[in-house]
Amino acid sequence: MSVIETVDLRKLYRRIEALKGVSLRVERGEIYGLLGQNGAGKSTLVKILLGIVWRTSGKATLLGQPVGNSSARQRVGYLPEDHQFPGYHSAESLLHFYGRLYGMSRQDRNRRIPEMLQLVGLTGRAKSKIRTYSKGMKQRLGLAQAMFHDPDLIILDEPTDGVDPVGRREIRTIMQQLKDQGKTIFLNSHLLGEVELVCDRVGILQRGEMIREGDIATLTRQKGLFVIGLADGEILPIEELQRLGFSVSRVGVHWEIGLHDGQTIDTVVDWLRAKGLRLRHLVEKRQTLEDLFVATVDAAEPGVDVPRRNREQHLLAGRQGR
Amino acid sequence: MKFLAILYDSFREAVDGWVIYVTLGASTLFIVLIACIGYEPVSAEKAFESITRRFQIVYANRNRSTMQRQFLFGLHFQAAEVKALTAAKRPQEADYQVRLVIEERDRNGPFLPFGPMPVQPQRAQEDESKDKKSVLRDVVSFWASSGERDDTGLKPDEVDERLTLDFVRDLFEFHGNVKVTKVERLASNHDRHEFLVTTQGEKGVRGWLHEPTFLFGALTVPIELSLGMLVYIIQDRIINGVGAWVALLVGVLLTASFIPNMMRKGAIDLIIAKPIRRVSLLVYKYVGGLTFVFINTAYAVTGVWLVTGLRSGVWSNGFLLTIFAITFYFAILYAVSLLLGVLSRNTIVAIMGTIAFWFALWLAGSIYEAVDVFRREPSTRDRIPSWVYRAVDTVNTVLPRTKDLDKLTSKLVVQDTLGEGDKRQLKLDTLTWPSWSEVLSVSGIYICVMLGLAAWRFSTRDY
Repeated sequence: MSVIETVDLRKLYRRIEALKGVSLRVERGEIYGLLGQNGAGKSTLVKILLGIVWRTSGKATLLGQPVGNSSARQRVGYLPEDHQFPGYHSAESLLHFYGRLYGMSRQDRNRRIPEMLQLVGLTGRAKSKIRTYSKGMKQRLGLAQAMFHDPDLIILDEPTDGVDPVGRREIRTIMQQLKDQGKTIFLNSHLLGEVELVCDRVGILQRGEMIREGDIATLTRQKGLFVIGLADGEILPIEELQRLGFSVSRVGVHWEIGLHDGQTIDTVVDWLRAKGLRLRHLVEKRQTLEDLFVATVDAAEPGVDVPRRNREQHLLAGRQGR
Repeated sequence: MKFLAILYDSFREAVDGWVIYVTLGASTLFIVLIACIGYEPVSAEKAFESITRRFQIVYANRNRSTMQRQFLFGLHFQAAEVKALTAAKRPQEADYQVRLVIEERDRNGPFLPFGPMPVQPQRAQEDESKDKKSVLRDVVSFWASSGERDDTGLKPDEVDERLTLDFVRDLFEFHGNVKVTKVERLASNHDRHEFLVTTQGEKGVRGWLHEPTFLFGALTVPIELSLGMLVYIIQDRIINGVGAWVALLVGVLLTASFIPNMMRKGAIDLIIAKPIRRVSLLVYKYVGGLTFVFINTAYAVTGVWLVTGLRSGVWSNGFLLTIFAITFYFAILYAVSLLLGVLSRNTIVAIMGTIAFWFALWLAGSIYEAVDVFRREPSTRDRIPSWVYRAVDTVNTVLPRTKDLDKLTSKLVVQDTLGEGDKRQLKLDTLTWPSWSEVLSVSGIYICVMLGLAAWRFSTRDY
């Protein structure tokens, strides 16, 4: 049983089609990242899963139960983007309130609250009113309330928004710990570097459609592109390699070798050894998630935002010229 | 568990502002002020003197009419002699014999009418030629008449001794809340009538005249009213009247933000994502608002009930039931506020809309009452076209009965505070009280409809 499953999920806001038949599966113990530009439909998808927005058509289940069913949310923790906790609560009283809604006993609440607040570093402000918290503190509290009732699935929408770099690292560590405990995490984030660091799989939404999905290692791998480096003072005979059919270009102190159909890197390595050159560096080239995201989005919707980008480039060029 | 969680959260939200503390502080201050009021029974002499001063006011239909009354200067009443027949600790518990002297001072008036001019004085002028005119007979004749415009009543000649003695008995019972056991005529001539009236003491103190004192007796207010009337004024007119309006207004102002705040962007996601049904969430929030008003009202009403009971000895248990009645009244208003809050997600709209609705209910109830007075009086019934009756009846049927609820809460206080005479003076004995079941059911249906609409909208919309 998948933790999250959607099949041909659609959402229509009057004339605007926010989701156009999205199908995805998130399995137990995964950290799944959902990427997309603003307005791509990420929040709509999450809100449908949590019963905050009603789906127009399609099927969606959460922990095996149809979404919209309040009991399905019993084992789900959620941190929304731009959340507003009631300012009249303190961190402690808020967790008590939410704990009661989840049916936690007083004993459990009294045990979990100090644990959670310590985990997110809010112990010292446990009794202060939330209205006195900074944005980062509210975000930490949001994370605490999402984990508080020990849910099986945690949905986090921009969890590091407003958090300083040290706090971000702590949050990443917490997510990793949760994964180690067998929890499933569904992550919405614009910080692609972070997503790349913690997620097992990602999906890219573009204008309501899932245009790419897979595990990060596979998605970011650039098939047939290797970077090699030789011992100090040795130069790669580029032209000879090109004559053998490889595409070669210099990148700093290294060389980038492109393989074509039927070619393998082993041929290059053997050739270098035969030439008496000493290989010191060999890696299969990967792209960053950000590169992948931009390339995927541009490929799916060529020309999107181009006028704006051009304008920005002109402005930048103008400033540099001055 | 979830219900209690929402309830407690609503309470936290309410106590977060300063308004609830001001309200509770004002209630406490008020309770202390009422605790400072004392009630001193007046002496028998003073009581009967005060009672006989009020005999100047006579209502038709044996003091039961609401439309006809007269202020008479033609008669002068005096409790010439008051004699205690039995010894008692408190003045109201003794039996008394009162010699009542009625002097006819001005046979030709003036009669100062308040309301339509009665027929009796005109008839008295017709009889003047016969030199049989007696103001007392005129007044008794008027007292015995039905008070209707076309009722010529008894002719003064037809006023017999038995009717006159009944009139005198009624004066004491109506104005003095005393039980009269015997009335007899002592002497009489053309200008002067003397009666001996025997009254029976009562264990209860409600009907006896008292003077209120303030600051634990430091200041006496020269007002002589029955103890029941004093307690009634405090409990019904001040607490159940002005106090309830203030409590309801504060309740509306304070609770109107509950739903819009919950539905703010960023807040609604958090709460809906919890394992609780949307309808349950809304209903729990509604009950949370009611609880706030219930606690506030219970504090004020119980406090006032306690201090008035301790200070006066009048324990009007019906007054305690006003806690539920006021809360029910608020339930009607809060259902509207809730619906407006769900539709607009705006606190100001919820407040203004609820107050406008409240005013509309009050206006509809007042118009219904005014029109109903015309309908009940045969002399005025035909002055209003029948479609007006149908229109006000229809509006009254479909709208919540807040005006009737006001009356019924007053009734709760009246039954435990006022004596029979006081009830008659306020015309409460002839008042047709609305039925509790009708008021509660019509208003209850209205609440259900409002809540149903709010729940439907809240459940079906996207956030």
